[in-house]
Amino acid sequence: MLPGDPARAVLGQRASEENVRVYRQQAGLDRPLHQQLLSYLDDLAHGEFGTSHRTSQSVASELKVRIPATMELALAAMLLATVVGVSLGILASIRPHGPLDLACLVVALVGVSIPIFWLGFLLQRLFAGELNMLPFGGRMDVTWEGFRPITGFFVIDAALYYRSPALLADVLAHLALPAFVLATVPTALIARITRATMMETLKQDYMRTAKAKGAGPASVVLKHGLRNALIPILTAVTTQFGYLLGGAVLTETIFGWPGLGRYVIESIDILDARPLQASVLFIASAFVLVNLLTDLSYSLVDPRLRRRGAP
Amino acid sequence: MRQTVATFALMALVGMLVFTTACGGNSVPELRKVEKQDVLVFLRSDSSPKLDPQATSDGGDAIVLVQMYEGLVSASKAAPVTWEPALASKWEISADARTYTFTIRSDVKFHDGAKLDSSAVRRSFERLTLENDPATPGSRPYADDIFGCIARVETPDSQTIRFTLKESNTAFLANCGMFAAFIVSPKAIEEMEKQSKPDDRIAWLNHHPAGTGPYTIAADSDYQSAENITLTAFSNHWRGKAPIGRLVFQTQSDGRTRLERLKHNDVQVIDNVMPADWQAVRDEKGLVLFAWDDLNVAYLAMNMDTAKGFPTADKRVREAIALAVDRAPMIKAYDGIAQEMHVLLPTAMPGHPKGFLPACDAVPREDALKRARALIKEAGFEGRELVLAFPEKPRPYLLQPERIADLLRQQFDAIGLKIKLEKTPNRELFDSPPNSTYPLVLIGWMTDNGDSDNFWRPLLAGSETKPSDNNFARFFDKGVYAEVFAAAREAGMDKRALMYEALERRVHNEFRPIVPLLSSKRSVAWRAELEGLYVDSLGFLHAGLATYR
Repeated sequence: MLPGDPARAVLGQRASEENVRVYRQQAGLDRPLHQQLLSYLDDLAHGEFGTSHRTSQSVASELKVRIPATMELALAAMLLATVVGVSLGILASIRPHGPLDLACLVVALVGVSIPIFWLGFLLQRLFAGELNMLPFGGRMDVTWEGFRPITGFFVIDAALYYRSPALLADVLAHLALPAFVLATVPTALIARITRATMMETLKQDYMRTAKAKGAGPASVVLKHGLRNALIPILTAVTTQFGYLLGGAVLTETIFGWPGLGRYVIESIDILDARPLQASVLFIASAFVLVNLLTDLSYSLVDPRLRRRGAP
Repeated sequence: MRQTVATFALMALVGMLVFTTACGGNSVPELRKVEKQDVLVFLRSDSSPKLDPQATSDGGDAIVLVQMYEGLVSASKAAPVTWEPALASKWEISADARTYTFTIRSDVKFHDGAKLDSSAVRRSFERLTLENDPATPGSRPYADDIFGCIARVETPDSQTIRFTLKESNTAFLANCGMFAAFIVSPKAIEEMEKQSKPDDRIAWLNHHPAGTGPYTIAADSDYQSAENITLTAFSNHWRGKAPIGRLVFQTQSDGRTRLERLKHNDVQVIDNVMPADWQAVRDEKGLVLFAWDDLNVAYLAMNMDTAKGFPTADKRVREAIALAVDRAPMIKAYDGIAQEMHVLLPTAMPGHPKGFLPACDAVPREDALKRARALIKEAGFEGRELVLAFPEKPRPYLLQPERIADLLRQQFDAIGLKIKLEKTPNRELFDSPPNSTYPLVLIGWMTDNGDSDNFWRPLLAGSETKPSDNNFARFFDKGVYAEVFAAAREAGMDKRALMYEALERRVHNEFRPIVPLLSSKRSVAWRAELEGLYVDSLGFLHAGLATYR
């Protein structure tokens, strides 16, 4: 149970007791808890997520803005983390305990250990402040006039709907720093898992066979090695993606990114139950869906799993 | 193979579902880039969830609302707060301060094209004050306490509106300048009547133009979220169009990031500059720091509710606590941007008793501690543990709640009281007064309208029979209540000020329900190339006259 009185949270410190009482009655807050729960489930069954006490907006309309923002950031971060993490992991596994492996280990260790808020502030100061190469935050420059989100994914809107290279470049520039910061932890984890899995795979007999048959080093590592090591890597990538869909509070706060993480925190802060419930529902559903898709994708990656009766 | 196809089909289906749900099916509007000189970005620490002046009491909302709406009168630029013509060109107040007659300007249009006249003002006040109004926003935080005094509203002609009050009230002019009394367009109110739920009406107003101010919401999507709002200069403003075309409000809770972005001209205005940075901002050539004595007070409330059985119900304990308080380290903790307070009203307000110190505060420190220890011993509470609740998050009147609470803990330890600090979520603490479980609360107040009654009535009075919901000390004395209301009714400003001064002398010496601690300054900073920006005497920044040099 959330502490505090939602009616007070809505009406504020200066509302009279009578106003609070009337509000509680109007909002159904004076009804027994089980009735309030049943009423909520009934609304949910009708696709009604309720209204935010804080903003008086429908939660659905607010999520329509927040979810694409979070998904865009999470997708960009995961793309970056996957490309960099898998590449680092492969390079490290080719010559274990060599200088490259050591460098990858350091990168991975730093990536996991570095506080996100500190890295965010640091990069913001450097790239936006000192070097003036990237923007400080937000999703696009304030000087654009007439931009109305179509899908809510600004990269898609800029590229497919507005078809403006300048707008696309601006949106990507705004995405770069937050995506990089958000990608640090997943990059490190993916790199470590890729390294471990690849090292195990590269020791297998069939790898020696591939080399003996005259396959080139790239073919041995990527075609024979990576493909066989892909399932744990895929699991790591999609699990991280599932976490990121829940919103990245610190990254969103530092870069003023209007995503789900900040929305959840703001809702907790003022006991705004409906947005909180809807957000948690979305996050849980997204996580389940991503895991389902991951399971389904295993058979695409490994043909052996497509056979009926395979474990 | 069939499995593979099915897997692909499922993934494609999910992808399409996500994509089509996100797509609004809107047509693509024309896109263009405006000059940077035509945009002003205000990066603040607060957000603005509700842009309905009648439905909010939140300072974060008010910052935006003052750019979009106007009241009959407006607060003066310079302190102390005086009232100047705004949508009313002039006014008359009857000798008994019961009838207020305003002459409405004839050259004002609302953002939605409606014309301002007396019936528009009346309709706006009806929405504010009538509980069953068809356009009511539901929650109206100021409706009862501040505007419940209105008995009758008449409109003798299209440019005149007359308010008759239930009883004399000198503060009513100030009330008319509060953001809750900003005038909302009758056309917008008519639209809101079509919305069945009060929340939907507020939500509608967040996205639609309905004021008379220099800036307006030009398109539905300009209110992106409470943290990101774009306003556009209103072409038909009665004072002329604002020189800067777009005013953007963004939110950043971290003070250092706000300053960094200002320094690099990524934003042009920031609020709540951290005290430690004030000098650096002053020294920086490209920046301007504007700091002012805000009309606020931070204080320690001592619960006097005898039914609760707190030691603080004993006057000896309250006096001992007052004697033990040392404000000097608190001022130091504020980096010098606060001043000591010994009474309820800030120094800039009429009714502040200049030079007066309550008896407990006038005792030299060593003697005060000795006397405090003796009083605690005499009352039989030596070594007793007391809970001191304080807000989890800073407020403008209490920038460092935890630090101040800890200083108080140390100071009370020296007189034999064991203090247990309880960091409490702000909302939970604000809810607590009527059924408070805290003997001591570190809290504060900032003015709504610059009137002394706005401190006395909510904090140390209440209704005829009980303390108000904001009265953390649960102090209620019929005689004091009568004096507070008599002061509110007094039409002579000098006499009124004397009445408040007398109240300060009486309450702090006779009852000692609170220990006023400090009043803090506030600040905004902006780029030096901006001119015409100003912060009014209530602490609101106005951008309507701002230009780039």
